[in-house]
Amino acid sequence: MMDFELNDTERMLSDTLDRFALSAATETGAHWQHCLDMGWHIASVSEELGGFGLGLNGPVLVARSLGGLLSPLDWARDALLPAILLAGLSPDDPRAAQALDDFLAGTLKPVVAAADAENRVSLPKTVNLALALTDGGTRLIWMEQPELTGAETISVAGEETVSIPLPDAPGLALSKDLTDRLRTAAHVVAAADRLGAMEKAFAMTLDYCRTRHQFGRPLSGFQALQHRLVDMSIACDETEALVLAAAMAATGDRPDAMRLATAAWARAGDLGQRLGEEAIQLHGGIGMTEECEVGCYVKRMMARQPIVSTP
Amino acid sequence: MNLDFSPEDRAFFARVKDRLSSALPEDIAATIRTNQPPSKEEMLRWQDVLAAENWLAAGWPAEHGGPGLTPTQRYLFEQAYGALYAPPPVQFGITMVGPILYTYGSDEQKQRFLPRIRENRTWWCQGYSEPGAGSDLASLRTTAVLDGDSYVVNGQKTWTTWAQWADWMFCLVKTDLTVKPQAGISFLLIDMKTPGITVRPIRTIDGDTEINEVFLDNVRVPVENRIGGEGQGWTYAKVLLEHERFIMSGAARSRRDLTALQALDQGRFAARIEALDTELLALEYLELRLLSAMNAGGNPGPRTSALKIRGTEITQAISKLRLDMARDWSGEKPEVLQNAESSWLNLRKLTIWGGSNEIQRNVMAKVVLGI
Repeated sequence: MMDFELNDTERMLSDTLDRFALSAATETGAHWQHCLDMGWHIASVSEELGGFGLGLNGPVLVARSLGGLLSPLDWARDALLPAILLAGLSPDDPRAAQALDDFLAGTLKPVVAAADAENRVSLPKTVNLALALTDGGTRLIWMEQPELTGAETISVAGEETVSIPLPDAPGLALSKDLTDRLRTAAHVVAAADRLGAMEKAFAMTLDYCRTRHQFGRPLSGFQALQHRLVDMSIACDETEALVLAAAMAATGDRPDAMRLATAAWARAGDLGQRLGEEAIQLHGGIGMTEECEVGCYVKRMMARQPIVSTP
Repeated sequence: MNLDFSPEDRAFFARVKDRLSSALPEDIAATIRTNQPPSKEEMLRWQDVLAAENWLAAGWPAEHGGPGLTPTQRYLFEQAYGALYAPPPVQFGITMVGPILYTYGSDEQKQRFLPRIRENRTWWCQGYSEPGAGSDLASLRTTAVLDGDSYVVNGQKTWTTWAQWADWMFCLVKTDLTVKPQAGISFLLIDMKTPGITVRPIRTIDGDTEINEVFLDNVRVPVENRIGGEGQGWTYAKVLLEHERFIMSGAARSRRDLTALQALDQGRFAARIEALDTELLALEYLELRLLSAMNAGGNPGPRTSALKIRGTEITQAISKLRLDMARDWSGEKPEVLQNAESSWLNLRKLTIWGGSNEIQRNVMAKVVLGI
């Protein structure tokens, strides 16, 4: 039955996310450890393979929460896409099945990376298994203990990252089904991460307009601003509806899953951009400063993109 | 979370779609397809078809003679209906006065009026707006003074859609001028044949005359035509407005129109069509999201204002797209590009009526955001 409400397993997951949000952890390591402890990294993996069998319904809850927390964890790269890729390969590929088991157990931390226009991938310096996607996510180059030496190191969100050229290898052709699932998941979780940031930026702005007084009354008492706040609230609701719908479509293996996923990302893109601009504007001068957190959410929206593009 | 409708609901949708599409007369469909207003005869003929299936008052509970659809079925009914080039049913009897009658009316009033609405035998119009009371409806000045067993009504209503064809009008009137404006309003049902009523058509920017001024000059209305208590009219009218908003998203009709325009486009409008497609998808799933909340026992309340706001904005954007495509077309225009200019003008009304979009934003600010 058509139902946007959370079922019991989804509710439990949501509760653990809410509790984590209160813990105020900020280090990447702490976020990853919590992810492992709670089993968020295996939320999408089927129960037969040892996961929670939540499809994308669970992962969007995680991504939305992490987006709102400005979590440094790259949830799509480090958890969701490796899980989908390894689970998709494992029936026919003993190496992938072994890697999946190690990943579920928390003893292996694979990352998924996509080749850029110069056929290079960016990887965290600590990586021991890189799953590099080429040709728009249709082929996979399996890189165990990738050779990272000699490359330039840059720091991205506090993480040492290197960019290396991909080896000259044809790689493994992925099935269309698996490619589509990776693309769908990449778009839905990017949109969900953005949704989390949008909701926080809106909540901050609403709160600011309630408390900031000018001309002897709160900003929220001015109709011109009230209408803009209402539009921000509708933007969050629209994005939420599409993100959840896309997650449900993917979870149910519906034929419209990819269409909804790209639509969710496109809508989150447009609405998020606009909402971010409005959030800064309604904060006024303080919104321009680094000390005001609203800018962090705006930058978060700009930074996180789907790892794999659509054809 | 689950996006799939139950097999029973899908079967219901298929049955409605099949029955409605086979029953829709081609000449009426051609009127709608070419973006023209349907005539009174076309509307009545189509509503007779709906009434024969007991689908005219589609939203009414079974205890009041309606089909007793669940909220999900009601939604699916609208999807099946909106995909057709069928005239939307006249709302005033069905979604406006009907629910007020069965919720607040006396048994005698229900027996007298409800069957006639269900069976397409009474045409209702709405006497709310006045020259001095638009968005600020509570400031209305039409008065009703008790004289024996009748009210004597004096004043003027305006923007009264299809008053020229109406048998009855439901009307907000002032019965007490001494209390605060909202508290002195009562809800009266007025027979349009009563002496003292004058209907004067208003020509609108699209050249049509679907709206009117209605003058009330010493119109005698029996007390038994008042719904509920004296001074309760405002409360009823507010409840009724929320009834409307799910219907007012117009998402199914927008989908129908956008799909038809997309089929005609040779690439010049592709970017706009794609952007509108995404906006429309978001509206469709926002509507489902709120429906799901209702099914779960929640009351989305004024959150449904978002459907009216976004739905009407999207319908207008599609009418603008239609206009631009029609201007760009060389040679004889296909049906769906005909009358693009007059329909674009006509559809300006969407963001004004039913509580203007500015009023919807005021309500959401107050009730949803608490500011």
